[in-house]
This record gives sequence, structure tokens and C-alpha cells, in this order.
Amino acid sequence: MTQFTPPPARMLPEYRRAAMRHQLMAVVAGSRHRRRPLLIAASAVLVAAGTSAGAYAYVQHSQPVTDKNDARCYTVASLSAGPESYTTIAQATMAGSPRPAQVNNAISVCATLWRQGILHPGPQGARGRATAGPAGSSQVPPLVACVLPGGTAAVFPGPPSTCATLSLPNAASYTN
Amino acid sequence: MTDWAALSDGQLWARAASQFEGEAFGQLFERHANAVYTYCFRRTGSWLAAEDLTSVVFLEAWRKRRDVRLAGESVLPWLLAVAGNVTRNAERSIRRHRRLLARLPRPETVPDVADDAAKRVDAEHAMRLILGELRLLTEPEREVLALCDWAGLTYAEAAVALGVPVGTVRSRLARARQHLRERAAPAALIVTSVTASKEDQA
Repeated sequence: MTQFTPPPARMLPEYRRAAMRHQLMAVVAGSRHRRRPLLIAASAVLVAAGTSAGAYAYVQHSQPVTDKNDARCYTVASLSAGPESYTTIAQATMAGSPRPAQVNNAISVCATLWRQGILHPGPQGARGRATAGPAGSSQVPPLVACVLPGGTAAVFPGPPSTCATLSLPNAASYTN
Repeated sequence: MTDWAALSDGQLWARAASQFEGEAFGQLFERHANAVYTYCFRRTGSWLAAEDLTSVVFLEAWRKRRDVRLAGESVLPWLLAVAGNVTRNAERSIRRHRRLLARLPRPETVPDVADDAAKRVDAEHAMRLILGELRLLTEPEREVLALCDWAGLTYAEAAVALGVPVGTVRSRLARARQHLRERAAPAALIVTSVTASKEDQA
């Protein structure tokens, strides 16, 4: 058969290519700070901290959490399940506070979200909001806190070996 | 130290989308920028427009990162589908990202070699003639022609990119080719030594 054949491919001019790459990298990195974190009132977290009976952690290879400005609660033991597989949490900051409040017990906060039905198992488990059912009655899976490459805590459902499976260190400061 | 070259598109995409690693997205750009650039040129007939649109395609891909569809481990088919949408709505797409585009170096600031400039002009002229001939096709037919015959995607990759069944890709491409065969196109536009698509060779 015959075929319309377009002109041959060309390379993107280098001087613009480098600028585009640099700009895209900045856009991606900047998106992290534009995500709206799920704010949890400090008082609620303090209450939840004492009642996280379903939350477990285990020290294997451990590393301290160095960035406590926020943390992530995952709904599946995977880093590649997409943006609906986790939610970002941060402590509410008092008006006039010079710096963000620190998330000092991510497992407890995530357990609260599971218990309240905000998180559900699966790769899109952080997509929706609380489902029907008595408030605070949803099941909390075993949870384990790991440390992401940037030093942020990430809490996954799963056994203590989950961090090792994901090639992440356990979070030293969140082990109970 | 991360061996970026060893990571698949899917792994890079996951690191960019879930951990906001700019370098991961930069690696994807390095891998696919030329293919996207050439695709944009072939849909618009302008190298200059294709430069800006290439940037827009990646910005749009990032904006729509939750909708990504990988074909196997490659993100290129989906990027080309995004490029199709961007080139169809070029003005609106450029308007959306105009502030970022304005920060890129402008083309006229770099002198071009005369011979290369002539080749660019010739290519644009040829491409616009082809695009003129393709106006008899529907947009879906033009799209599968550009994806399969020009960009070299398989039917399956094009199907994933467009979110349609493989059979639909196959039938659209068959109709497109049939229209072109029936069309009495200028001889200069028709190549008789056919470069078959990957599917035809299989």
C-alpha cells in the first residue's frame, strides 16, 4: 500500500530542552508544597494517641524521622499505587505560630483516620471521605511506620516486615 | 545513588507522582521529549509551535497525573495521547501555561545554522501539505494514523493511550488508509516504498 510519510524526526533544540527540563522538575518538586494536607486537630490526636490498640510497629532496620512537618497514611503497602493510595497529614498550627506544628506520632493519627472510616484498604483507599457506620467504629489494620527517602514518616497497613519489603527503614521514633 | 536509567517509566512516574521527585520527572522528559516534539510537529506543521507544545504536553501530563495509563511499562503512548489533545486545543493549552512558557528562552535568541534553517522550512512546507491532504479524514482517524504509522505505536499501545479497544484502533486505521488510497493525492506526497507499521511487519 502507499502511505503519507512525514518529514523525519528532529531533536528538540538543546538550549530549550534544558530549560524545559529544569522548569518541569521545579513544577514537580513545588507540587509537594501545594498539596492540601489533612489537618488534624491537636487535641483529637492526643486523645487518639492513647487508643491506637490496632497499631503496631516493629524495629528492624530503623532510621529517625527527620521531617515531621507532615506524614503520610497509606492504604496499601506499596509506593507505586498512585496518589489516591495515601493522604498527607499535618498537625493544626495555632495562629501566629512561627513554624508548622510537628507530627510526632503518625501511627496514632493514621489509626484515627482508619477508625473513623476516612481510610479504606486498597490502592484508592484515600480517595473518599468517611463512609456510613457508627463514628469511630471502623477496623484499624495493623500499621507500621517507615521512613521515606526525604525523611518523612509513611504509615502502611501490614506486618512489621512491610518496611523491609518496600526497601524502606522502619521509623525509629514511631516504634511503640 | 539512584541508577535512573535502570528504572522503568512506571517506576519513574510513581516516584514523581507519589514522592514529588523532580529528577524522576526530568528523566521521563529526557526519555520522551524528542518523540513528543516530533509528534507535535507532525500534528501542527510548525517546529516552533512544537517546541512550546512539547513543554505544554509535559505540564499537562503532570497536571493530569492521576489519569496516567501505562502501556506495559511505557508512558510514551499516553504522553502522545496528551499531545493529541494539546495540539487539538493548542491555543487554550498554551494560554493555560503561558506564564511558565514565558520563562523559557525564546527561539530567536539563538542563531540558527542557515542550512539547518532551510531544512526546517522545507520540512514545515512538506508537513503542511500532508496535513492539508489529511483533512478528509476524521480526527480519530488522523490520530491513529499519527500514533501508529508515524510514531510507531502498536495497536495495543495506541488503544491504551486513547482508552479505546484494540479493534477500534484497527478499524480506524484501516479506514484512514483506505481513504488515503482512494484519494488522488499529489504524487510528491505519496511514498511507494512503504515503511510498514510495526503491526504490519508482525
